[in-house]
Amino acid sequence: MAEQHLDDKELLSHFKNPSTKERAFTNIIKKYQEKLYWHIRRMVIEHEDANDVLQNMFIKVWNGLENFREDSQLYTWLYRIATNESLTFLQQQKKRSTVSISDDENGLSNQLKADKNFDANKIEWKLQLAIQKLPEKQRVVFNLRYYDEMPYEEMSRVLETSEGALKASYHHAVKKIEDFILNH
Amino acid sequence: MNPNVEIVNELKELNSFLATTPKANVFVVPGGYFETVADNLLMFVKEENSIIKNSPEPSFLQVPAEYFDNLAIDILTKIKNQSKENADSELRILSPMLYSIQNENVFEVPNGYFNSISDDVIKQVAPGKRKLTLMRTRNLFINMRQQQLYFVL
Repeated sequence: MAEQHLDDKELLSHFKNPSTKERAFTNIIKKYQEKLYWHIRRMVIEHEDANDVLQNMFIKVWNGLENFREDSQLYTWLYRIATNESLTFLQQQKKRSTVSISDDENGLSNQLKADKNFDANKIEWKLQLAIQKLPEKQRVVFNLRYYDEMPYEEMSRVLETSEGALKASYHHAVKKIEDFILNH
Repeated sequence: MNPNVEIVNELKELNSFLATTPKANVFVVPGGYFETVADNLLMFVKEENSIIKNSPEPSFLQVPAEYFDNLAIDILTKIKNQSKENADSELRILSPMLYSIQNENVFEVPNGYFNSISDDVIKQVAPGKRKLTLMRTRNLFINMRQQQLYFVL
């Protein structure tokens, strides 16, 4: 199998064949690992957490791929699982937190500030702080559009939300980020 | 990587500084992470699945024998116990004294009362046995004359 050049349909068909299943799975991971990792990392911030979420999502992929309906795209399906796993992780983290966290001092902002490279004067770090102030779903929309450059049509399939609502959400997010950066 | 023109134009329409700000990644990944992650994930997934397969725990699709036969009764029993427990525990907290005496009945009924009551009622309602009985109501209002009500039994 010329792994790197197989399209999703071929990878899926190899996955369904027991003799090529593991190889196909490895190739699916290799094909999407970086996009999915960064999507997760921007949500959960720390590498160890991102790695945990990535592992959990790929366990779900392994268990669910046999029954994957090929009328939707593998890429869309993977992003949906990664998003849901990230949001679930964040919810669990909130529940585990024994300390009361206010809106201004949420845990993710604190994680950013604890980074050894954090520099409050640099625009890229200010941008990250501003993103963490967004509500979770709006954060997902902003990240998918701004960083992953995902078309609204595709995002609509990942998040199962109308394109109009996503566009409005992204525009609100951009304005909120600007306000935050101008005032901090 | 060149930024997507569509994304940049959208940000320009929103007059956002993000349109002209280069995207910088502030996050760091451990060296060699992406070279090994696929193999590590495969190993991890296989281990996880073998743990699940070899686990003595029943599969999530299995239920204990006769589970559904007894489910309704079990639930009803639980509901009954729960309402009793709730009333008991509520009283225990509200008034330990009342809780300690709650089952002591100070009233007595004549011997055999509950055995004969149905027969007595039947006798009373039998045709030809109707009679007027005078009953007194409670005085509800000050200065209101005692009233009398007549019931046909």
